[in-house]
Amino acid sequence: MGNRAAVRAAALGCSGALVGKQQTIAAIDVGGTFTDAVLLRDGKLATCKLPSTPEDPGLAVVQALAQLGGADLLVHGTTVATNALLEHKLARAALVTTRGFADVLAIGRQNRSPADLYALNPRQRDPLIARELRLEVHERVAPDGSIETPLQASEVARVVAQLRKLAPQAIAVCLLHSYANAAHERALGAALAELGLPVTLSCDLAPEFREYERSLVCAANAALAPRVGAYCRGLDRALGNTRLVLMHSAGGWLPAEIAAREPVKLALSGPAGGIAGVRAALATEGLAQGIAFDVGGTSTDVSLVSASNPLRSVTEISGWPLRTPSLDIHTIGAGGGSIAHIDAAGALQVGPHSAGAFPGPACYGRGGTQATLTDALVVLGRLPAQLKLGNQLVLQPELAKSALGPLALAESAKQSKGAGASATGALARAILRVALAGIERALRRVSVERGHSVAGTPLVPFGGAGGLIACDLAELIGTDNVLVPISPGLLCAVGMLHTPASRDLSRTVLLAQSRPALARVKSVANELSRRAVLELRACGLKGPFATQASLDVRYQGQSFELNVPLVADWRQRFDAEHERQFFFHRATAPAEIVNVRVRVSARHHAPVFKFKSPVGRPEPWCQSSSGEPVYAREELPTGFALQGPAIITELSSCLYVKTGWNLKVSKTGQLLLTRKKQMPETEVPGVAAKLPRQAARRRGRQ
Amino acid sequence: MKPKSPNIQNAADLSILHHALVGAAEEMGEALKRAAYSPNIKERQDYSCALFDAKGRLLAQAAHLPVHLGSMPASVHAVLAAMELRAGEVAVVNDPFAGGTHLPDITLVAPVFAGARLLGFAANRAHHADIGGAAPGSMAPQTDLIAEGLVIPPMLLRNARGARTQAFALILANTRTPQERAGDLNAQLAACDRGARRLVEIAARTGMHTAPLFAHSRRLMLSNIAKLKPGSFAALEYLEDDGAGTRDIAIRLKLTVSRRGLHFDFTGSAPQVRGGVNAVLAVTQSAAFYAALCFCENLPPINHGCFECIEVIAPEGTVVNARRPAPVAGGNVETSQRLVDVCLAALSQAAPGRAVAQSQGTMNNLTIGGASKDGTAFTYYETIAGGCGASTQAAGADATHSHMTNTLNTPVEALEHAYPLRVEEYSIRKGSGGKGKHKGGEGIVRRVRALGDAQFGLLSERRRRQPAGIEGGESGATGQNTLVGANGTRDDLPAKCQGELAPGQAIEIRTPGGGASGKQPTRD
Repeated sequence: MGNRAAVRAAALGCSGALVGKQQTIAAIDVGGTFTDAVLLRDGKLATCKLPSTPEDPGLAVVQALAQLGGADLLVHGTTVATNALLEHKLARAALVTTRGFADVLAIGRQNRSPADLYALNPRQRDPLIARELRLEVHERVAPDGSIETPLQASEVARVVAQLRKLAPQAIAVCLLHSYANAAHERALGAALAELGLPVTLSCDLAPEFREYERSLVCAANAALAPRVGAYCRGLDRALGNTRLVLMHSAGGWLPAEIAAREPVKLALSGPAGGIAGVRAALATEGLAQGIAFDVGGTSTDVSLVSASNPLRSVTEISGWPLRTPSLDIHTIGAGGGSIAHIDAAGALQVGPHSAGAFPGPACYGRGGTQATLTDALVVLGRLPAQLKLGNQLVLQPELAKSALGPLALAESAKQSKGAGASATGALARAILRVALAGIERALRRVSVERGHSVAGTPLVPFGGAGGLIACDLAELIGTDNVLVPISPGLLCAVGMLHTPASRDLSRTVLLAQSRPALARVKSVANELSRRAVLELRACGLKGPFATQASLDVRYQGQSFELNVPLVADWRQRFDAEHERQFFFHRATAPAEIVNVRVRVSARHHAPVFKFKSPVGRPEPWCQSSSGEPVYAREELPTGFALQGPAIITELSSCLYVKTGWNLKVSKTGQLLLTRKKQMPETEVPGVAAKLPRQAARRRGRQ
Repeated sequence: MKPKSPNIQNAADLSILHHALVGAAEEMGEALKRAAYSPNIKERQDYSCALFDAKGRLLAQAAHLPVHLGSMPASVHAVLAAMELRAGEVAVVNDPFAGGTHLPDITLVAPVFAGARLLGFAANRAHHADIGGAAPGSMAPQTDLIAEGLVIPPMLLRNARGARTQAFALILANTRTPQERAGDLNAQLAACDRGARRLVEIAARTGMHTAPLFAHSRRLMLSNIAKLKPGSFAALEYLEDDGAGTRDIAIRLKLTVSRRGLHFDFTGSAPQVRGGVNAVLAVTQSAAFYAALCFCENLPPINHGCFECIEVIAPEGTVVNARRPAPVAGGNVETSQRLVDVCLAALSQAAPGRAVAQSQGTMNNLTIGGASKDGTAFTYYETIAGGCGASTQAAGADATHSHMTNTLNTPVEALEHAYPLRVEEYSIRKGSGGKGKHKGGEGIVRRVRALGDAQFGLLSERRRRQPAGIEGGESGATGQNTLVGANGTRDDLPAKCQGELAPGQAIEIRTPGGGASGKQPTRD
């Protein structure tokens, strides 16, 4: 367990940065449907949105960069690694491990997936590497790093010969307790080099204890290496003089050379940009905390964003708990494409089935016939019919209505009153309420898990549909502020412009708190930091580099850790963090330092956008089907204010300002939404009419 | 605003109330896990949280382990029968014969008020690592309840002023690890408070009309049951022994499937035994509920409604409904698995084509204790997974915890760091799964060597009787417990035993495989 809070480099924007001021930086985020590109030149943002090219995602990247006129540095967020893991398009990798433990990958943590708790026949976990490719060597290292059984040269030769015969495409090596003594892994690594294959050593990639998680992340890395490596190298060649760097899951970027070697670190490459964008948007308005909220087609991502950049140590993809530091993003299985249905016992459900990207919601006119959340929003008039999504897709409200029709009619027929259009409208509101209830439930749980309170924390919607339901969700979780960044549909790409190069390294030490232990911890931190700097320099990056070292600490006897900065009073900080997160601490109990972590980041110019406010009083460019005025965002000048209900459209997204909310355009062009204070407690749409009666009933009882 | 169709609003309200209540139970769970001290709660997630209405009917539950499923309502009912709770008060109970299951499971129940109106109850249960008794961990085989640990009948843990009662001090005084217990109990109190707060909010926001909620789950449950063949179906299984001299302990079931629901009748099961494998009624109910849910194609939201159509009859004084002062520590971990085997065997007769072969049917409980190098005492407890049974469609999963449990293992690297032990092998036990058209899942081989003097305890089943296959598929292999000498000698150990380990001696456990489904196709 153990979440991790690395401190972000404080001093940004100093001179002598690795990317000179005269250089142009572009950022490109490749999603399932669109490839978003942004370029910063002279404080101005140029943007470009192209359809993705899933068969070769690099094509759209090269094309988009050309349209923007090229750049010196390209920061790239990619789903190549994510999709390979999700679709199991993995190379045939082999694993070398300690004798007696070849099955660690197949046994996992012994548990079945929580989804299979009541399954008559729970699914077999996927070991990622088949049994015949999992080899054992006779050797043993003790927990303190002493060698109990030396690794003989003959054993090494035997394994190399065996692997030559098996002919895998990549190799992972993970021996027991190698974080305490890597000599055996290194000996194997040196011998395996002659095979000319990508080799992942656990002492390099993730020298942290807990053998299943370490083996798994190495196996995943090896299995990704051939495909992701080829993608990085191919794209790098195609980009010519533009230097390619890749966003990694922990919210920085890595040179393509390192990314190709450690592809598992790209597992959350795309979403990481969005978090950086949200953090920058909050900082612009002087806010330290917010809830990033990205509604996609099949899922919704939420993340609690703060200046301290909290990381988590495990990311689950395809049921594999991958132990690699990642931004703390939580995915909920409900999005715009979630299909609504009435279950066998009469409850309205939204999801878990989704119309996906294709055919997508019925209103896209691509053959979808089932009612989705997006269709409900179209029926409610929140997505104006006149809008073209991404300048291309024309919405077809009549298709949305006919998709909702059968559900609405089936229900109203039973009741025989309220049919036709009104039933469709009621159903649309009902679908929205149910979808919101599911998102609210997940958001509350995530925030409790992370020890934060959601109430009062501003919501930052981005992605296509976040703005359409942001006001409703804010009301449900008890927050009065919504912040809509500039170009919310391009936020992942914009965020990448805000991101420095960073290299995260760690090692398990498992030391009881003591003076000699602290000296050892410091020397490990120095060693890790030196290695990170050397690696970044080897890729052509110039300093200066900032290092933050931190420790994963627990009370002796516990089995989870908290991350605290490596500073003189680290112990007091640990007690305080324990108190904050878990409501108690034990100042006199012995502590144990489990892992040492360092983050080395390059100095980075935070991009400065100049918002060029349009002039003149904006007029609605149309009216929605339910009568709300619709404004174009690019016409809204600084200081402009309005009261909901209203709709604001822009190229890649749409915002619905609910009744009871005020909108104001900030100096930087961001939209600030505030809930009117004098409003009585508003509830989810559709039940408002019912409330007074209930309130009266409650009062009557008192 | 346009007129609304009331039906659609009801359909949405139902879903929204369900999301809100389950969300609140999940939030309680997260709060408990975060504030708890012991690894058993934090990492193995051996806890559950639930909300109840004013009549003590289950509204929603967040459970990680099916064994807690049906037994939480029993705790609430026992507390309600014993006392009337006022605002701010919290009751505690672990008495297996008054709402508990086995002694380490401590349950807290807090009333929730909106003004003067009782809205319902917030309750949670956590497995505590030690609750006193003759042996550390309070899980070793004993022949009476008092030797198993401290028995807590329903009593106040916190008074109406919010202060801890003397019961709190009494519990701490009767455990080997008072500081850890205090931390875990405080976490449980905090979880109750969070649940109570959310229930008040939900009631204010939604009006909390629970009748449709129960009716919905009941309808869904009945629609699932309607797919079963009506009639009576018998099944019989045996526990191998109680570790205190009684062998082949019968668990007999007559299941009646009708349009009204499921009727599980355990009449004819063996009388309660001396050894600690007796189950209390709550455990037997949990096993029946779990088995019923396994046969649901559309899993209903879990609340009082789904249990309304399930009736469990178990005569008092039997191994499936023991009377005080029978020892019960193993009822939860071993007998519960056999109860599931019986229930699934009966249910599958009513669901042609949906039968599954038996899974390993044990949790292979291993305890090793002794002194570390520096002289401090250590106690290590683990359960080991095994093979799952095959279905008529697919093979059984290898090396996976089945049915009533789903706890995580302790990583080898963590274990060796913390205790003077070496794990020499942790592998899939090849060939242990039954052979057939669809193979049974394979068991595990785990060999743990002691570096110094140590004591061990074993509580396991399926060492003589194999997990059965179906439709001509072979049975899974029985488990084996072996004492391995420093020089490699091998001696069999009984299924339930205690003993000493000299430095260099090892315990090797080979866990049972799952049964197969269908005859293995013959090769030409």
